[in-house]
Formats: sequence, structure tokens, C-alpha cells
Amino acid sequence: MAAGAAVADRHSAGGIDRVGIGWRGELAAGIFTHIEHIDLLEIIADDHFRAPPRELRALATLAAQTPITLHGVSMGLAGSDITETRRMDNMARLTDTLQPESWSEHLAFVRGGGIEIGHLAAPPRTPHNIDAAIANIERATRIVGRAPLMENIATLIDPPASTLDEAEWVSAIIAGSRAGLLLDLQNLYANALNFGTEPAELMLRLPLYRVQAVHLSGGKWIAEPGNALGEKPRMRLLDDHVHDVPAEVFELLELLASQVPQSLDVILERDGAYPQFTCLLAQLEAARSALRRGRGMALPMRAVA
Amino acid sequence: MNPFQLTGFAFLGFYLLLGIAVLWSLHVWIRNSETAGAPPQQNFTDPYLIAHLRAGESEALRVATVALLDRGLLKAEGVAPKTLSTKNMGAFAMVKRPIEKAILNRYMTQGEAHDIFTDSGAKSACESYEKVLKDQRMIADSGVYAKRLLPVAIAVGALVAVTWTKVSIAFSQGRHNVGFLVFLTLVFAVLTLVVWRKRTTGRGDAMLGDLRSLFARLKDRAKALRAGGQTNEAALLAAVFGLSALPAASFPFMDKLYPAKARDGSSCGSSCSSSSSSCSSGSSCGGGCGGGGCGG
Repeated sequence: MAAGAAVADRHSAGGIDRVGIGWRGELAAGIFTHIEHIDLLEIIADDHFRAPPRELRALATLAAQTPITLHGVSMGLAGSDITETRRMDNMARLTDTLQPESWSEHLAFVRGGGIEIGHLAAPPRTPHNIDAAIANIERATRIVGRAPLMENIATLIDPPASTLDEAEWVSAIIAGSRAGLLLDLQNLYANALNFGTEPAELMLRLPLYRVQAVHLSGGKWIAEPGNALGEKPRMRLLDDHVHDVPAEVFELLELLASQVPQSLDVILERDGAYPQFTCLLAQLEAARSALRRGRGMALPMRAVA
Repeated sequence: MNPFQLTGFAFLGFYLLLGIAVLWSLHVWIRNSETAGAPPQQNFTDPYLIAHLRAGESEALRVATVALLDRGLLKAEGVAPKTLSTKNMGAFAMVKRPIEKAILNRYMTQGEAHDIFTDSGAKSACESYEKVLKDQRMIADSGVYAKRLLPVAIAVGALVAVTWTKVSIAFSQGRHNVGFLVFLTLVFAVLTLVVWRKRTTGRGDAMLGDLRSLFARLKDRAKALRAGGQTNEAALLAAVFGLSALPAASFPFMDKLYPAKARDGSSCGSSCSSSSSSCSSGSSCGGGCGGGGCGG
């Protein structure tokens, strides 16, 4: 309790947690209508790399309504190959134009040998891969002009040929680069359940002092394919962004807020099966509540924007 | 080549192109001069303000009336033309904007939908929108019209000068078939005046373009919108694209209120129904992340 109060004190002195949502055109009216309840918006950068000036101007208008952050999905910075400079240039141009508060990418690889996977894939967690990822992140930092936040990804298979576990691998990359950590709690939760770890235990092994932003989303259980022996298939938790955030993920957010002194930007991700916007607002409020609980009840109300 | 040596249809063709070029140049000048250096506008989320920018006071009143009907604070009764009435005195406690209060006030006594356009209280409520839009240089005021005057005068002057020169040459050569050229000149002069008197500024047009761009995907899934007023989505969609963007299936009363509106539908298709009242269910126009999950 004393430790929690200390965290609360440091937090109240240091900054304000913010809660926002991923910008999706389908949610535009809901976002505009309830803009006073949305502290920031996350825009998928890749959707706008080739945008005409008119579209960029529209995004600038959006950014004038509330702070924005850019989220990339196609750099593949955690691949063992060198990420092409042009992909980083795209992000640099967009950050120059829109002046977001931050930008982020994934700890994933998305291509190999000239073949695009079309998916965020977990690379082999090895020292060699760590070096390559750090080199990519540092190049991206120089080209874009500021360090990214790197997001942990969900995976349905334990990456083959790995010599490190996820927490060791993520910690080493974050420690070796200037990047902050964008902690996707649904991804962490799914990986923990899929590979037999306690979610809270996995989270506490990550470099939480570098967490600057958090993703929340939902998923669903699916049967693992390829069971030829007729046994009951194992179930895997799929991160699909089309379901509500489960209570367990909010509990992880509460735990995170109780552990770190720095302010957090929490983004709700929803990519389809859009419910009434009031439902999304309820999830934003649930995130705020989790943050308040985590920061300690002694915090003044304005500690969470 | 000297264009004044052209005769007949050849010169008329040249003049037509010249007139179009002059009009286009004037339009570009106005657009660029009225948007240059303007930062993106903040706090531009009020649907009635957006509707007023797009099409004026009457449109703001239309959108507000439909929003109040959607929220159940106004009742529509009878057949076309439907009459409107305020649900009860409690409705006033449910609204906060002056335009909404003015509409509810007007329909405390039953009346037709179009009555609101001549209601002094409603018109007064819209004046604040007019002032905001003028202050933000979204719609033209006397200063903007004055600033446009010089390029408009130059444009008209150039067109008239060409016509005058050509007519002088024709008369000097004994030809008097200049009627169609004079007619074209008058047409372009009128069009130039229309450009001069354009209600929205370049900045206002840019804001409307921004909003259309930001809301484009919502328009695509407009059929998923349901009546009920739980959120202001319908009002914002109508504000940005017009009432015709609202799905007739969910807002059938609009046909009876404002029957002249053509509907343009959406591309969502029949599979794109909205979710049920549960937060976690429903179909989608969006794609999700594919069978492999999102991962990120």
C-alpha cells in the first residue's frame, strides 16, 4: 500500500494518463460527437503514406481537434533483414506533416526474402535478431527524427529457433535502443494464455519503466488447426480487434498503473464489428477506472484526463 | 497566332476557352488566397455548425429538426406533409443548444416542418452560427467580398476588353454578326459575379472537404445507422453530406418531412447490419484483421 501511494504521488506530480481510441473512418461521427471524452487518437500511418494533399489536410484538421499519434504496421523493424529506408522515409514525411505526439511500430517482421507476409509475425527470439532489431530501430529513429514506441505482438505459435522467451527478448531490444514500449495488454494476455504463463507474471518481467503507451483490444478463442490424431483441439486466444476488451485485460491495466510512475497513453483498438459508440465510450471509461484504481484511490480525479 | 484574326465559330471556341480559363483562374485565386496560412480549425464538431457552413441556416434547421425527431423529443404525426409537435416540456431539459431549444419552442404548438424556416426564434438561434462562421472566415462577409472585388473586376474587364476589341474589328470590316459573342460575354460576366458572391470562402470549402474526407467511410456504412438518437452519428452524417445520406429504412419520416430529397444510398450492402444492443456482437463493414488475428 505504501508503495502504491508512492507511485501515486510520483504520478500525480509527473503527468496525466490519457485515454483515446484508434481513428477509424467508420467511427468518425462517434469520435467527433464525443471528442471531449477522447484524450488522443491513434492514426494508422500506413493508410496515409501515399495520401494526396487534400487527405493530409483532413488529417491535420483531425489533429487540430485532439492530439494524435501515428501507428505503423509495415516496417517490420524486428526482422533480421535491414528495413528499407523508403519505409522509414514514409513515416518521416507523415510525422513532419502531421506533427503527432509520438509514433509507434511493432516488434514483428512482416517480410522475408522479398516475400510480404501480410501479417505481423513473431521472429525467432535470438541474440542475432535482437541486434538486427536494435539496428533497425536506431536507423528509424535517425530518419524519422524521434524514437518510436515499439509494440509487443501476439503470436499463435511460439517462434521456432528461439533461444529467449518473450520477456527476455523484448527487454533486450528496449534496453538496447532508445525506443519506448507500447504495451499491448491484449497481446500480452493472449500470449500468456496460449503458452501457459500467468499474464501478470509475464507483464511484470517486461521493462515497465519504459512503457509510454498501452493498447487495449479484444479477441476470441479459436481451435488450433492441424490436429490429425482426432484429439480434442487445443484452443488459442486470437487477437482480432473486433471484440470488447475482456475484464482480465483491464485488470492488467490496473496492475500496470500501480507499478509505474510515468503517465500512460491508453488506446482502445477496434477494427470491425463496430458496436454503438456508447459501448466504446463505456470501454474508455472502464480504462479510466482501471487507471484510477491502479494509481491509488488517493489520486485526485484529474490525474486521469 | 493572333486570335483576333479568327472568325466565326473558331473565335467563339477561343472565347469559350478563354472564359473558362478566366473563371478557373479566379476560382483558384480565391481558393488559395482564402486558405493561405490558415491553420486547421479547432473545435469544429457541432453538427449544426457544419450544416450551416455547408448549406446555410435552413439546412442547420433541417438537420436539427431531424436530430430532435431521432431523439424522440419531437413527434411527427399525420401523412405528408407531416405536422410536428414537441413531445412535452421535459424535452427542453434534454437539449442544450439554442437552435434545439428554439425548434422545441416553435413546436410547442403543432406546425408543419417548413414552418421552422420562418420562425423568428429559430432564425435568431442560427445567427450565432453565422457569426462564428464569419469570425472563423468560413463564410464570406463584406470584407471578403471587397477583397474579391479587384480580381473579379480584372476578370470581367479582360473578358469585356477582348469582346470589345473583336467587335470593333468586326464592325470595321463590315461584319455585324456579333450577337452570340456578346451573349457569351454576358454569360461569363454573370458566372464571374456568381463566383464573387460565393457564400463559402476557400477556407470554408477546405473545411467541408476535410470533413467529407474524414467521414467518407462512415457514409459507406450509413445503412448501419439506426434511429434512436443514442449518439449524434446521424446528425453528423446529415450535417456533412446532407439529409439524403441518412438511410431511408431507419429514418422513414424524412420522406414525409422533406420529400424533395433524392437519396443516394450507400455501398455497404445488405450484410452490413449494425450490431445489436450488445457491445460485443454485430457484423461489420470493416475488415478486422483476417483469420490470423491482428497481432498488433
